[in-house]
Amino acid sequence: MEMTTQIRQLPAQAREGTGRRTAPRRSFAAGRTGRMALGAGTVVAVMAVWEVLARSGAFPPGSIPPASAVLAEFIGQLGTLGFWEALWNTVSVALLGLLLIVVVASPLALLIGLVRPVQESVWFVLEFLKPIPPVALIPLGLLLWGPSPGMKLFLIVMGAIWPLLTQLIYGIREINGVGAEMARSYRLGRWLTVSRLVVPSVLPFALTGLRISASIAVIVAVVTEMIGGAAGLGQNIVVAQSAGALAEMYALILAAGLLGLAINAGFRGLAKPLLFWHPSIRQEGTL
Amino acid sequence: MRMTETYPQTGTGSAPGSADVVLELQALQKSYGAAKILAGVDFQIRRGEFVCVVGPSGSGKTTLLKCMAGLLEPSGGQTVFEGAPVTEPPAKLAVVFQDYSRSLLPWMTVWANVELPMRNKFGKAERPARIESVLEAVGLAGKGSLYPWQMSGGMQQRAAIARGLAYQPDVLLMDEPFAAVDAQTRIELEDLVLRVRAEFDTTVVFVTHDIDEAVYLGDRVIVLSGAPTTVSRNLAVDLPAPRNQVRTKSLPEYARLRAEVFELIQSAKSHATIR
Repeated sequence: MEMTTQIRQLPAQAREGTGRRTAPRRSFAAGRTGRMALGAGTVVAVMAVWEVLARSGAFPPGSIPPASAVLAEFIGQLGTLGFWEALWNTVSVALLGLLLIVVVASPLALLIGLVRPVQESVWFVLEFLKPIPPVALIPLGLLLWGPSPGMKLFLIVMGAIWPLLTQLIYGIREINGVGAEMARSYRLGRWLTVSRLVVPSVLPFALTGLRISASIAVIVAVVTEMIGGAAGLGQNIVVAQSAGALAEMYALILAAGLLGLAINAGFRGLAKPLLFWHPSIRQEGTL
Repeated sequence: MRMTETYPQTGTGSAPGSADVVLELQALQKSYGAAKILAGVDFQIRRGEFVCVVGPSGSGKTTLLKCMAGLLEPSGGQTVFEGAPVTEPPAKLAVVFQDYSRSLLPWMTVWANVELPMRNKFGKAERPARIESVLEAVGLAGKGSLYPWQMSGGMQQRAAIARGLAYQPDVLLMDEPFAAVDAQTRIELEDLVLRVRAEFDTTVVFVTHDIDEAVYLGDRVIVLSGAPTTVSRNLAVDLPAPRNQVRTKSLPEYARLRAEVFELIQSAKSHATIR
């Protein structure tokens, strides 16, 4: 009861107390630090619950070591060369896969987004390929390349291309009609139309697609390493598990999670300066 | 004024009478499938004129404007701009769109937006002075570094008008440019258009659904019928220049013209619904 009234009052106070121009800015900053604190608090709380449950014997014996042991192992891992090698194997292939995805998806999206007959003829194939789990293609990858970076790359592209491709196609179709007519009526020509209208219009979609594709690329890389046996974090997880080194296994899982988080944050950071004009980011202020 | 001398005096040597026709619609038709939108539209625009095209909603005003601008291929007839049939957007014609929030590019400052169409037309050295002069003319002096979304709707449309003027067109086509701004801003922008048109010596074709606006602004008002559209009347507006929001609108002649256009639009509407 007390809490709900507090929450309800807060925005009203922020609106009244400050001037019109500074208000959104200040509440934004406050919201951000508040959110960070809340997030960090939740992480600490989860760790604490995990620690208590593990020590009290609530988990089946020998399944989950306490959080403190995993954390200590994680810090220990940071000091070993093997960990960094595995991390590099995973990240480098994921990023290479992402690059390949961009190279493949961009012309494909242009073709599908702009040429109606192409779009109408390929949609079925695309919708068929999209839901195939990349794991199901591991046998094919192994057959073609063996447990190698080549196989990982193939599976990453097959599994992670869809968000970027779909977003790019949407983005190209969304280029607003008025903008395109403006470009045509002022005879901007191909170069100015592409560089000043098409690329900036598609950019928000591309960044969203890229961010999701990157997350999936990391997941596919780790899974492929686990099942297909290519070198990387995934393989180390499996090795740790079969050696019964549970703390190490969880420490590596933690590392994989943090890697995904870092990649996501990296792309979010990229969006801010590139999309300063976008309604989701800009700070509006009528003069 | 300094712009005037750059305009070539065309028409020398052509037949008298048609010498100063800059834009001519000849039996212009447009159909979308079975739906006939334009059923043979004919009119002429002479150099230096301010012509308002007014019609009931659904009369294909935007279709007509797009055909004039070379953005849309007519199904029959043609638009002749400065003696040549229009098959693509002519270099000496600029369009001011109704939807300023989308015709201005949000990732560019006002300055860059105005400069963009000039890039293929003017050398790098000529651009800054010209951009400054058009921004000043539309009341946006010193505002070039703002982004469109930092400005009000009225200011955005001023920027769009500045972009059109900077392109140095012989004819400026305006597609219901003030339909999305509030009444106060609309009055300001109407007078602004009259002022810059005199200053830059531009021919203006102004498409609107607003009868008052059409009569107030135009030297001539072309009234369209309902779809399938033809010209229902071509009215000379004999109101003294310069126009004034209070004095012009209280003249008996203004009231008479307004009533005449109103009647025509009403009858066009009822005609369209009966069919």
